[in-house]
Amino acid sequence: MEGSISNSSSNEDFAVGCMLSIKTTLGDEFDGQVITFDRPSNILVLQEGSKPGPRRNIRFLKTNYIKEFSFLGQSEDPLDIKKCYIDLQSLQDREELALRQAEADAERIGVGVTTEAQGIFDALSKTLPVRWDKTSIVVMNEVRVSSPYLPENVIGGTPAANDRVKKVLELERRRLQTRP
Amino acid sequence: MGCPNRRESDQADPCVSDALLIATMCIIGLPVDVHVRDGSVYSGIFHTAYGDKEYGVVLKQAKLTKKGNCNVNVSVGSMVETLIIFSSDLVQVVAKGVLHPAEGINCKLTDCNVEAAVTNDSSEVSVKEAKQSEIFSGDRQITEQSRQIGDVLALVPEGQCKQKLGFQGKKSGDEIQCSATALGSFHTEVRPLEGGYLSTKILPNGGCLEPTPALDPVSRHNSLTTSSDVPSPQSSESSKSSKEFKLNPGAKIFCPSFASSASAPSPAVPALGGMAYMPSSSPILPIPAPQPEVSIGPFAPRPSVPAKISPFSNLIAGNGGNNSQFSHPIVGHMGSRTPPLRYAGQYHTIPTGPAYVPPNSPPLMVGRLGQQLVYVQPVAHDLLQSTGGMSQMPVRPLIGPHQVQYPKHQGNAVVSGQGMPICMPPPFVGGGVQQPFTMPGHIPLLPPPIPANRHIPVPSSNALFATKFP
Repeated sequence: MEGSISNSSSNEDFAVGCMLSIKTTLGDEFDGQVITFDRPSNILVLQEGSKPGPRRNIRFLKTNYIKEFSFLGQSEDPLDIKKCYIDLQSLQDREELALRQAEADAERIGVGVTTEAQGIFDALSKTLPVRWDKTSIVVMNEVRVSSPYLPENVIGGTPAANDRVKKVLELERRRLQTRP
Repeated sequence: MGCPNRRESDQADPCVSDALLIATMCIIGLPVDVHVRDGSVYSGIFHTAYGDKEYGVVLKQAKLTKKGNCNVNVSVGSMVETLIIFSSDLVQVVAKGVLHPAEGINCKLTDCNVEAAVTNDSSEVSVKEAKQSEIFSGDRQITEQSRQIGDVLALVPEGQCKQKLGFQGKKSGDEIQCSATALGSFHTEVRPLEGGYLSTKILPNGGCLEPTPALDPVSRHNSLTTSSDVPSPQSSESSKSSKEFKLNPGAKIFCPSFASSASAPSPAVPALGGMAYMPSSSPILPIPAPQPEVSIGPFAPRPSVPAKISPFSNLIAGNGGNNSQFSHPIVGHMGSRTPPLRYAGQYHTIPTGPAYVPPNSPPLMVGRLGQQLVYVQPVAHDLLQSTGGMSQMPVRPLIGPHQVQYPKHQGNAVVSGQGMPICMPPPFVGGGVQQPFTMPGHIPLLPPPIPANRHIPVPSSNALFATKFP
């Protein structure tokens, strides 16, 4: 069965368990199995991924943006509500963890720095504790690497720490330059 | 279906489906990609969804990963702490690596404690024992609320924060009431409770908030989205009020501006659009005994089962930050699902790209980069003068994907649109067929006036898919 843009009645719904191949008005194409269709909000929930396993991709697609779709087959209801158990605490913890991780990742991103500077920061972060201080890279909370992030721009810290940062910086810059 | 104590007349028009609710809850806390109608893609952590008969989403730590065709108030790569994407802008939400609710997450009740089973990916779900006590300390909640209030105040140009948002007095300890109709269908009210904490309550469909503990969550059509519906003594509510303000009221709303031809002018939109849902204080709602499952024939309409409702209420209530409410897991006995034998071959589509154009008003970007922002649409000046209040909230979400500006002269968050019409066209073509989300033109879109001493309703977690977060 192939759907098409039409002005027919809106009384039909998407059958749960149907395997559909959908093309959206924005150019996305994907296959998925219908989990549910919420008529009031026009949200079609699809389950992607044919690989066996508990994890799968889920799409919440607004049917307004379906350009065309084709019926691939019919399967059983992928969501057995009888067996669904949701732990709010786990959800909250998961979000907390994700937020902390996202904040940590965001702190790693320099604001107003060049791509090269960010690359140097990322490279230094692999072996040294680094953080951004505006456009300067602070290593081990004592050594600062200012723009243009050359070995001669490494200042501060103990002589041993300073030398170590310089060496690592030289190595990382050399590695970045050799990369395609 | 998903609404408690649904009246017979409402069974034909459920507010949310059980399966959609479960699917939504499964992606909470997961990184998702949200595609919007201009082609932009926002990546962030799925926080919650909202909407009665619509589906908007709220992302945390959102970034614009792919710029669309239209100018938006979010720059590429910049992170927004809270981003609200309205239903009218939403195309799809893609979540990868979602654990099936029946396969990975199990829980059991042990008195007042809950043990979450370890999933395959322990990084996401860890074994822990949830205690009935609140997860977040009161101090943290106060800080959270103060920070959120501060962020809300920071949303407007400097020097006009408090006035623009209609806050009165200090952040805490004083009566702070604001109203917003970010979603059009809800009015939220932020009120300080005992101890200087704030609580938010959603007033569905413009109804006035009745801060009485006798509110019956199952008696409301939108009970899934309001924690104020949960009956509880006021004292316990105030004692747990520190858990409110789960969502940042100053959440940044995705407000693309379309450069194509202007669409038909529409009535003004609510001034404070896109305000994040504020979690409302809600006491613990005991989970009733499981009810016999209801056999469901047709796919679309589903009678609700009371046993299904309280978990949702707990979910909503928990959004207020009362972690004790979430000591009980949600048991998803949602009734049988009989797949329908018919397919939906007809659907409404829209042409690629923006079909409508917002009014020719420059977006008002308030706040600082990296912080929570709220963009509001310019509203008609005369509409701002009307006595809005929560009782005048339109049924439909008046603020779509556009920006709402607050009147500067009033010192509040509503910038006078100077008579500029507000256009909130839905992203679909009308081919003479009743569109599911067509907004009738005769519906006046009156933004709530937000003078200095007015209430600004803030959407709270009373949305359909609220989660418990401080």
